[in-house]
Amino acid sequence: MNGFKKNWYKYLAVVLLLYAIVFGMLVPLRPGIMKVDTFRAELGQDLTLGIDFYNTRLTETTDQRVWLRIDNQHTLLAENTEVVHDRKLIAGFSIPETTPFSKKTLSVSVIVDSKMEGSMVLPDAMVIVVGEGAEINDSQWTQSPIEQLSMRWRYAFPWRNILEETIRNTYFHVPMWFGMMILFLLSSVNGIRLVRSDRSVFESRVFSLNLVGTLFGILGILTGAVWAKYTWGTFWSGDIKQDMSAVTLLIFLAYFLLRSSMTPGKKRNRVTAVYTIFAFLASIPLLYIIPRMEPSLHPGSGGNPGFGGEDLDNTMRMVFYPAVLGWTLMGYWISNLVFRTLEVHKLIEDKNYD
Amino acid sequence: MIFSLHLFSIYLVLVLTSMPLDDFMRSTGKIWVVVISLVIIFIGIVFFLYKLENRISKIEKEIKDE
Repeated sequence: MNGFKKNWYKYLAVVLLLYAIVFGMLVPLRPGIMKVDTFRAELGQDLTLGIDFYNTRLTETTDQRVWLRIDNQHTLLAENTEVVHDRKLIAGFSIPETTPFSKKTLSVSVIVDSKMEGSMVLPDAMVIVVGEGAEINDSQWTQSPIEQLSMRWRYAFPWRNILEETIRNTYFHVPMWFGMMILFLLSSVNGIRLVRSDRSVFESRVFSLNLVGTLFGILGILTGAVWAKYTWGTFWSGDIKQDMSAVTLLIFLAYFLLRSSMTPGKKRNRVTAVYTIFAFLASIPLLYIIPRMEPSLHPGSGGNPGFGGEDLDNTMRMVFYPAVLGWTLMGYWISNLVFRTLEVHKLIEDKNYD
Repeated sequence: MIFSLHLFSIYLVLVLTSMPLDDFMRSTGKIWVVVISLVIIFIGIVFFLYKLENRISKIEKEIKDE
């Protein structure tokens, strides 16, 4: 029982991480549209559009309705649909010869609805080229409004184009950064205690928390680079948040240089503690303010929510918050091992001097 | 259970040898990106613990040498 009082957070870390990995990996994605096989059509054309889906079972029903959507008022319903297999559908449209707007091209989304799968959308799926001198008349575009969409709730993560299954990285890449910030916060608190009392236990705490926080940051950068490669195209795209997190890590790497270049003692304790506090304070604008003011590929810049909408819905929150807590407790556990190693080392060094 | 695991590893080898790495990473809804992320985190933590163990071994040696 005594052991449990001391170790409860380790059990909690294990349980939360098991939950996050099992549910994070096994809960399915919602069905969605992967891609269409035509990207360009013209007015007056009979269009045969092949649509590829993900996680759908199209052969079980035949009630699919397919729309091309320019905006809320201007839509076009497919005249016929044919299910090829569970994840492929062919829709036939006869595109009117009139255009609702005097634009050179019309950007259209594809919307598919069925009772079995609910409604799915592929934004900006293709463009319709408007020829010279096309008649502007929207009557043919307003005859088939999008209505009676099926809603189907299921325990599944959101389908996001381009992200696809990598949306699960939210439970492994993002908690690295949250964990890092919490560890650095704890380290700064210990830094303040060190400045006030100059007891070397706090110095050990600051060092061990900074060490594990930096490890989490490096792992966050590496997992982020792999994620970026397969969603944004390159490992490092000079995204403002990528750059600023690298700067933050460099600031904390300098802490280890600073610490190893000074002789242990009162002076080193104070200098490294103050440096840690300033490094933590500097990391807040670097990671949470500057990236939000610049255009960024990360969610949460240019005024869009970083923490909600389709990127983090309620089914994801049920895994995301436990994952953050689990990884943070895991980090604290590891930092505790480093701390105890330092303390033991100090004990025998003191003995040797005596 | 073990049989299905074997089947899975055979499938993995077949898939890996038959398509370029980029296509492999993008297959099955890019799920392998998540797998690689978990592997990176695991290897990172194991490497960290390995270094920590070395440090502890050194201290143990110091204690024994006294």
